[in-house]
Amino acid sequence: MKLIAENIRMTYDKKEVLKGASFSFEQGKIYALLGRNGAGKTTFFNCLNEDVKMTGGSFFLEDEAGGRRKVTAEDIGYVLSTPVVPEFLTARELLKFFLEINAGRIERPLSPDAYLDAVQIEEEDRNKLLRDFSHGMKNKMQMLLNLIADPMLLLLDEPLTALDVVAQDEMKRLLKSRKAEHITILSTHIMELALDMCDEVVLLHGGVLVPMDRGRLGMEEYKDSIIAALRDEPAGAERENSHD
Amino acid sequence: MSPRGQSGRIRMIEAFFLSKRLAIECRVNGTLRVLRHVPLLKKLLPADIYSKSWIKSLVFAFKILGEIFSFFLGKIIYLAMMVALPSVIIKEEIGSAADPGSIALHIFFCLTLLGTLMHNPLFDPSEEMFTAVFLLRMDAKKYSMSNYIYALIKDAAGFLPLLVLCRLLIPALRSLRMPVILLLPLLVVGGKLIVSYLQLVLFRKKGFLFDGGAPQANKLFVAVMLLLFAAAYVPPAFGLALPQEAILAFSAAAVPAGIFGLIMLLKADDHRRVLKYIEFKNRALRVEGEQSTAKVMKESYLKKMDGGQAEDMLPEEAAAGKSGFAYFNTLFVRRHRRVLTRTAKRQAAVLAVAFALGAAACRFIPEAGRLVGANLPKILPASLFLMYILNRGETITQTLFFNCDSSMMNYNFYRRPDVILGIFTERLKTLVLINLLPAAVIAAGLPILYLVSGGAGRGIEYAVLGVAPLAMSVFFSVHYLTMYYLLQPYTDGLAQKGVAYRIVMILTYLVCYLSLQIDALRDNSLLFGIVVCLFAAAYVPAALLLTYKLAPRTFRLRR
Repeated sequence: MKLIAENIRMTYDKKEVLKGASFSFEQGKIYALLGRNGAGKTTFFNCLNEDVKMTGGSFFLEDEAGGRRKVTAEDIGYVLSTPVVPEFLTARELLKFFLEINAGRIERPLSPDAYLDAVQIEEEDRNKLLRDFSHGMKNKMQMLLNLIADPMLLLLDEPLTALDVVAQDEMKRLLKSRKAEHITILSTHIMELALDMCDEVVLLHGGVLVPMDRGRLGMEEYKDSIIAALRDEPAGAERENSHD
Repeated sequence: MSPRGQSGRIRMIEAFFLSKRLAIECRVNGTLRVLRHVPLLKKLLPADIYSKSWIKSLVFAFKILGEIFSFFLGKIIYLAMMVALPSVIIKEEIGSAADPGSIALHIFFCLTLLGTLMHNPLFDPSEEMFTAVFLLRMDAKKYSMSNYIYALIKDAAGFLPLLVLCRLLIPALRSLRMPVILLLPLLVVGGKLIVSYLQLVLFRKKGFLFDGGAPQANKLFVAVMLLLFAAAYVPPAFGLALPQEAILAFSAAAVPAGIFGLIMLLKADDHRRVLKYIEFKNRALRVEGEQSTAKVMKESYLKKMDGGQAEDMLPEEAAAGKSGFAYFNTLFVRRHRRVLTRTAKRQAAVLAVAFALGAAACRFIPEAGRLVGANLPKILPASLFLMYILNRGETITQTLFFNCDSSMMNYNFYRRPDVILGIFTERLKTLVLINLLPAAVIAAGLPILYLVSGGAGRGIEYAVLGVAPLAMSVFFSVHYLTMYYLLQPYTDGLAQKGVAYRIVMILTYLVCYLSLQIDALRDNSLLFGIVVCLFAAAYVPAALLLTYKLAPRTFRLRR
């Protein structure tokens, strides 16, 4: 399966944030989406998630036989950098609700506690309201729901920054272990994470998507080439805009 | 450009113009931003409008006109409502023995003293102050003193012509001597200056301001306010007013006192510290204010959660045995019951007591009974407005958004049509039931009251009195919830509402308000009630149909 983005354009007022971004993201790979502040990474994700209406272009899923179909909400899991969870529920209650309304859609569902075991949320925390959870624990819950829903396409916006080092390590393993059946795109500003975890680096630069082939470059040279590629535009065009 | 001139630092007058320009720029941009959110205007106003100088000049000119207008208007309203009207009441209605001029002068004098505490802008927190002093690092003393002096000049220049005109044009004020009138603006200014200086002294000694919301001073502050307020109005009612000479002497004394205050304030070097203190106090208040706009439930969880302790939440009994959407909704309602159900319960209780008292009055006071019996059916149009006021729909949808949907909508499973509509159905039941609580009391109370008052109405009148409130209540419940689902007006950043939603809400208000105002409706009250019932019967299924059809597309986060 592939996610094919064709000529995605997004204009806020007169500012063209995405100027015809095209790329083919393949199943089995984790992609790092790198770009400068305001380059439009979040806008790109919002377009895929249909949170905003694109100015132009299209995207779809294509199977091995070349059959194309529309991307539905259920195909996408979108994990935001700031975790959002319903604060009035406990971890157990949220999972119970989630499993109930997704009954029949989840292959081999487990009990809520089995899932909480898997992400190591302690027994004593499971009956606490989510509003009393720490940032990192909320992040885990958000990630957990998206992993159980098992969407084909997983969009991760700075996914690991809130997690402690152990949790980061676990999450990396988890994402790697499931990558064979999924398309994973991870947006980050941390070069090390991008290089360490992802199979391919894609730059969002100047409103378009540009693959950064490592070729035979050594690690340091590769890093330098990425930074050089991101530097080439005049600095004035890179201002943070409110939509990112 | 460096803010430092050749002499090393900018002068006070430059600081003033810089800060004014900044303040106006902020306000003009704010206005333009709002205008650009209006659907039709958005097309007309380009995105780079903020850099278009002629549009800015236009808005700027309006702002200046507005400032001048409101500046005089504010003082006229103040003089009319706070001084003239009470003076007339005290003289004419209460029959005070004092001379009308002295009464007005006495009130103005006391209120001016009150104003030195209540309306003294040297240490007022404002967004502009924060931007200028703390973000742009403008010199705190130059910023606050120049703006303060400007405000005082505006005060004096505004009052002087108005007071002189009053003295010349109003015959009852002839007894007041012109020097007294001419000195009053100086009393206003001098009083404020010396009080500001005293505030600064207090801050140096004790670390808080008298009116700065410090708990040590709060009670005293309120007491002084009330005392001055009472001093303004109570003595004149008993024929006592301060003699003109005393006020003249006081005003004359305010001049040197004010000059002294001004010099000391200009000499002081701790303005920044005071501003920091105010800003800190104010931020806490502002955060509170923002939260209350959305009535964000911070305090609406179960009592035991309020201590902020992470106690275990055992599954609620009410939710036991439920599953899926009903489970989710029940937990939400249980944990927000203070916001959701408490008010409705209180409304119902108050209404029940009111109806009981009314019924008792009708039963035992024949006159009251006759009055109610003759007029009760006419109450239906007014009851529409009452039902509008009582309805909790808007608060509840806000609570739904901020405490639930704003986070849940980030999960794609929550946006599946079956989930949106499943939860919508549960919420509809909840909302209708909550609002029916007070409505049922009214629906029962009106016919009973009519019966007790000996109303000789026909059966149909009783029926309409009983059914119409219920129909109105269901209508409002459906209206608010469907509008929420169809127009989803809120953004993550609290408070901001979609324009379409706001227009619908204003129209809703207007219709309800007009029903209160139009006499013809009262005379055809019975017909009105029937029409309302029919309208509700048509609106409810139509709105629900529309929601089930469109909500999967419209019910989303605004990014």
